[in-house]
Amino acid sequence: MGILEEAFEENVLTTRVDWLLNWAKLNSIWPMTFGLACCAIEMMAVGAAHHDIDRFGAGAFRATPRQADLMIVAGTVNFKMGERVKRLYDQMASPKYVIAMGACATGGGPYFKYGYTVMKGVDRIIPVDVYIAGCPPRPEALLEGLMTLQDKLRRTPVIRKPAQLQPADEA
Amino acid sequence: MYLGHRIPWRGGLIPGLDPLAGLALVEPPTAPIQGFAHGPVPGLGLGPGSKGSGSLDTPGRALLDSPPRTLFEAPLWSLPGCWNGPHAPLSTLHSRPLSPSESPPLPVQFDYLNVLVFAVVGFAFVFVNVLIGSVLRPKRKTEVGLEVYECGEETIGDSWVNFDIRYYTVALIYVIFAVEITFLFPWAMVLTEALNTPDIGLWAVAKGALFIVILFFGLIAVWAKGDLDWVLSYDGPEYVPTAARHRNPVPSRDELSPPENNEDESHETETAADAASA
Repeated sequence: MGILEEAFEENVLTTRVDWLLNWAKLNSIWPMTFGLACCAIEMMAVGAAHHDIDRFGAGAFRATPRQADLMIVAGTVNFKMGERVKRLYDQMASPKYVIAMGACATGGGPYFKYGYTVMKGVDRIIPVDVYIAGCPPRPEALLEGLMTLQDKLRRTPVIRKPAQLQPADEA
Repeated sequence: MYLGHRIPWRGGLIPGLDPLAGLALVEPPTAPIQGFAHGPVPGLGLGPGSKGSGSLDTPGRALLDSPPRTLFEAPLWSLPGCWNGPHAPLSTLHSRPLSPSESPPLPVQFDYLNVLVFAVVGFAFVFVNVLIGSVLRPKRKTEVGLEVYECGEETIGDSWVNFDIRYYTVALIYVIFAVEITFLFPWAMVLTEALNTPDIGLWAVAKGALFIVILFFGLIAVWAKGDLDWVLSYDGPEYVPTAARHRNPVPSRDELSPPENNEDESHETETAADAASA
């Protein structure tokens, strides 16, 4: 747990500092160099000049999970690879985020019925933040997923305690 | 003719000690020397002033003679504090008349302040950022997260092993043959001519042979020491890891099984048939 993480109650100061920290975070989401199947081709297209994921600050694909913030599970995750995916996710440094790209990583995809080696969704082993539909998704869909993740980060406080649900809200 | 004698900021006052005095073969150009700020530099390339067999046109000559404007443009020997610097007062450092568009140059001491500010800000930038990161970042360390990164694989064995860096010996032995080739090639090129020369004759062969023999002694030395044998036995103590490595087990295949409440009936019948056969 960090020193400042969730250390303050809600007030104006923490709101602005949270905005600043999140602004820095969501504009430098570095993904991990990690492609499993044909979705990885689309991911490479997103990293290339035409779609250019660097516009969103996420173009620095890191070759080690120690430096990566985002794991884009791009492709079919089978059971053999699932152990590696789990270990790679554990080796990433917090805060870390996962995008399940495509139908296979989301829920098994075309291998749902008879794919006896395929894990039916990567969320069975690691927590997924954003799901992207498609087989494979268009590069614009991956950019949409990245922007969705940025929206999620923008709404997540860093140094402020998360808002407690009141009993009226739960009802 | 050496042009430095009329440049007050460099060398003219102690002409015997000027380091460029030996290069002073440039003939004086007809036009007065101007800096880069005023157009093309005489002395670069073959100008009209450098005709004749005895003239050596030194590129950059005029650049050296033009007064420095900052610390990084100045030749080292022109700075105050160098051996001929203090002889020229600071006001005469820039003897060239400034055009109206040019701002007067700053004193040289201020450039050192630039370096100081640059160094301080550079060091502070690193440490302040590391400090901010250590305050802000979450620290959630797990056993698996602290494992050795091996592209997602489990590491086999231990990374803390003794590694033989004996290859430097091979590199040193290679130097023997490299030097041999380097010196024997020009020797072999002129050997025929040397044999036909009356005063040299077989002495050329003898000297080359002596050189080869001396290098061969070096080869014998490394041979006797056993450095030519690549596989050596290691007599030291065997490495014993101080603590057993602890690993968190990754989810087994049973934990990663497909969903059980499958709504597809044919699939269920298949699994039921498999279970019955098993």
